[in-house]
Amino acid sequence: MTAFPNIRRWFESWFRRDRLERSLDEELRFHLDMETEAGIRAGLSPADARRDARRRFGSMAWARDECRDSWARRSAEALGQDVRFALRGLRRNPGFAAAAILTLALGVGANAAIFSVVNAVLLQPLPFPRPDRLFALCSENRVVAGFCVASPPDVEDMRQASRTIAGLGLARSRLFLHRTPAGAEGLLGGLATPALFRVLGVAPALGRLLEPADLQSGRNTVIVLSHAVWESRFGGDSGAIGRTLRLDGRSYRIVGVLPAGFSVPQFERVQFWTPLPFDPRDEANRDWRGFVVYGRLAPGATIDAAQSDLAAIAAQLARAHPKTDAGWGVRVEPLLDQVVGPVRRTLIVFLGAVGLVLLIGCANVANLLLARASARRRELAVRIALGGSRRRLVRMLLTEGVVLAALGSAAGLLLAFAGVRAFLALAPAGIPRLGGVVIDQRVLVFAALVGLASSVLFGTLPALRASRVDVSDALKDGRRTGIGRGLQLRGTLIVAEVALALMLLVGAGLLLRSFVALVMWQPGFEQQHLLTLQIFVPEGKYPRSGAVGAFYRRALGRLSSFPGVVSAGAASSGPLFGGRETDSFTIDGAPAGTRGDGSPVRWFDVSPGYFPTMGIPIVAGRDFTDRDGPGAPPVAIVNEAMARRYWPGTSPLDDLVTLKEEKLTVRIVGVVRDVPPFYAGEPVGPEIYWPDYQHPRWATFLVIRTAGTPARLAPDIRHLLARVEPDLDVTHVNTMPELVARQLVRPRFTALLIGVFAVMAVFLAAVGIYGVTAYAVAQRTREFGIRLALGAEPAQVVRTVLREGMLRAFAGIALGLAGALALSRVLTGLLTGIQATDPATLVVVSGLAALMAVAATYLPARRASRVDPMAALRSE
Amino acid sequence: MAPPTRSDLLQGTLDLLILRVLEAGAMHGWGISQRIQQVSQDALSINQGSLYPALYRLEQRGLIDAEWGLSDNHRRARFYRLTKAGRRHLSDETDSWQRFAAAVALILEGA
Repeated sequence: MTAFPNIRRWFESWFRRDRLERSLDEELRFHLDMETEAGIRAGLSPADARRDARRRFGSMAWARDECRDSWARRSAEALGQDVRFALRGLRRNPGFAAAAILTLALGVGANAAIFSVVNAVLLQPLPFPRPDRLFALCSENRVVAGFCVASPPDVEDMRQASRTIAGLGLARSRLFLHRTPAGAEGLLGGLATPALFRVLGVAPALGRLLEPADLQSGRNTVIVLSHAVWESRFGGDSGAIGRTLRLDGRSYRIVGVLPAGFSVPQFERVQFWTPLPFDPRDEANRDWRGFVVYGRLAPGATIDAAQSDLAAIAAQLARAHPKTDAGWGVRVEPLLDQVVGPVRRTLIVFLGAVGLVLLIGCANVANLLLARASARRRELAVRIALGGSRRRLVRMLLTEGVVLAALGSAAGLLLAFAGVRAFLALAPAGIPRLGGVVIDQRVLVFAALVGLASSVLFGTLPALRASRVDVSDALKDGRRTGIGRGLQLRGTLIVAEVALALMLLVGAGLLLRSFVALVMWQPGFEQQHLLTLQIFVPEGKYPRSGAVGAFYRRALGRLSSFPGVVSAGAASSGPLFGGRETDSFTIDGAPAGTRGDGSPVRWFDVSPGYFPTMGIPIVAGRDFTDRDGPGAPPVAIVNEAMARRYWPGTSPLDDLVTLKEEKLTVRIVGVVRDVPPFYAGEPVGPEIYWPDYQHPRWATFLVIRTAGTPARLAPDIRHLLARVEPDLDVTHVNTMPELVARQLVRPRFTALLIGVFAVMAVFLAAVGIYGVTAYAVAQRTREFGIRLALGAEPAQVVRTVLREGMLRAFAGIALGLAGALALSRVLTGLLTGIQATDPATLVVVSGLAALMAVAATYLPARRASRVDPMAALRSE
Repeated sequence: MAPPTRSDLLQGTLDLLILRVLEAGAMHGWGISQRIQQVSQDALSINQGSLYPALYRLEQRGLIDAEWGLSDNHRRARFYRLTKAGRRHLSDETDSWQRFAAAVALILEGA
């Protein structure tokens, strides 16, 4: 006998008209049949009996219309009446209405905004046919932990031997030097096997894509343009097909254009694609694991089947090619995971955070409605006593919940629009698929459901309680009965709110501390006056590496003597600029299986001026000099971390180290101080440096220490380099502070967002505490009045109220701390240099939560102490 | 379309009759119409068709409940049953009818 049968009928009358219609027809038919049979039993002919029955029945159409009317009018009237009544009720209590709607709007808005991001980034399928059949293939070995790459011959062998995959495509990006009359520029090109496009299931917008025949040498100078480049450089002209581009000194013919909006995952910035410039089966490249590999499952095959199939093939390859493949396994993962994997955790943390905000909001709405229901107990009891239908009362309260949900969700959607815009404006680069974020139907439905669930679910609670009103009890003294129970429930809700808010505060606190740790990065050198840039030496003009080395010497010499430049050096990569290159090494003469037997090490190509320019001190041995040239014995410098770890207690100086992948044996001549990593929690790994004069490559970073502001000197340095070599491509010009700022974008964004949610949570929890305390105080006005009349000090009254509030707050804080510790694992990946259980953060944050609770309890408590005893007693 | 004119009094009477009939137990529409004719000894002649809007109205007001079941001759029929509210309503209305009838009788006798 609750509200539900009635609700069901209400829904039926609106949404299941035809069922009611059929039911009515059947009922009337039954009546006529019975009447006819009665006539036949009385002796009439069947035809007469039927006619007689119809006559007695009267107008069939009228009866049907009347019945129909009765249910339509009743439900429409009742609905309109309920809604009008609910709106009137809300208008009469603007404070209550505003608090409930604002709470719902905050919860719904934050959730809808984050959901729209999660929807676009994590949930939408990749924009390829049958995207669930796509996967990424990665060769696995501790040397490449964290990367997902493989080598062309391995991939070709796997493709041929496997029965679980329909295709495997390779991709790698490379900077090409593009000669134009205006000068040289770098264009980011992609090297691919033709299978890549077949795997992704893309069709050309114009011309053709790469084909197997394009891999043959002599025919591989063809390119397929991205749609964006075709539009920006060729004005979308179909005559672009057949034209040529001068890239790295060779002519490439344009054969096709990719469709608009298409990009190969992880290669979004690639401007054109060209075939792999060598045979993918070439054995020489079996250990060149520098390719991203995407595949498509064969019909009927699963990811797991492909994983075990390819693992078996990898094991065979390891036996067949022990030199290059021993110890290498393979991993297959769905392409979507590969694409969104890096941001999934962050987004899920965001979703969890807004979920907590919503829960707090729900608790607030529940509190508000409970308080309201208690305040209306007498009114409801009177209605029931006067014969008002209990169902109607329940329905009235439910309607109130639905109306609140509708208003709250609508306001929440407005907030969501603004929130999504702010999110997109602040979001760091590198979150895939952010362009697809929109407030669409899915988000609208989501917002409506969240609003309904949080309002009606929690609105139902008081409604059901009200439907159990014991009439005589409530009438005898509507104020006192049920207060105990109601307050207890509301007290529990407050504990939950404080706990949830504390969990968010802990997250925000940890992220903030982690962010501060990044800002405080002390790399051991002065950062303000450093400029870095990347240069590409045209291979056509400098075909031999010796010439490249000589060019670097010349360029660095000119730079160092340039006014305003203190010193200059070159490096293949370094702190915050450049990538990461690893190899595995062995120490010559060390017994196999002991120190550094095949251990990974990061390596760097550096010039003699690099360490002094950066300000990294040499702690033992010597720095490189210009005499460490191509003809001199190969030398290297290691960092302290490597020396400590692999030469414990001794000196690495004069020992020989062999690098496996670089096929290089070098003598150690020096040890440099460790550069503390930017991400404070990261351990300093072993590093080895060798002179770029001995192993020059066509691309390098230059680091330049300036006397004044480095950014101001940048244009002059560009000019200088152009004078040294007009075909030089100069990119990635940055000052060290700029690089630091870029690294901070993502952690700042995460900390900021979680911080905003935490503030919302604390605000909502404070409102909740305030509301409940104020209500409790109002209910006990008479008690406080009597106490004060009997001589209690106002301070005592304040203490009484505060004590009760703080007991709940402390219970909430304790629960919240337990929850935060239980969830600490979630944040681990987002924190640097700090544990997710950092005690200092937990203490500070608990203190903040307690302060919030004191403030929210104190205001109503003070009001309790100012009760006018006479007024309080008279009011009853 | 204009329904056959019936005074409110008559409509109230029909509602009351339906509730009274259902007090004895659940019954389908045709059975109710037969009972009404029986108890009123055909004095109240109504179109059987007007019974159904009254039943739907009473159902919407929550005074009666309806459920599909099997009739005596094993056909699907919609059975109506008095709800708590309906029972209360019936007794209230019966009281006021009796008071009203008694008052009228008093006036008529006293005149």
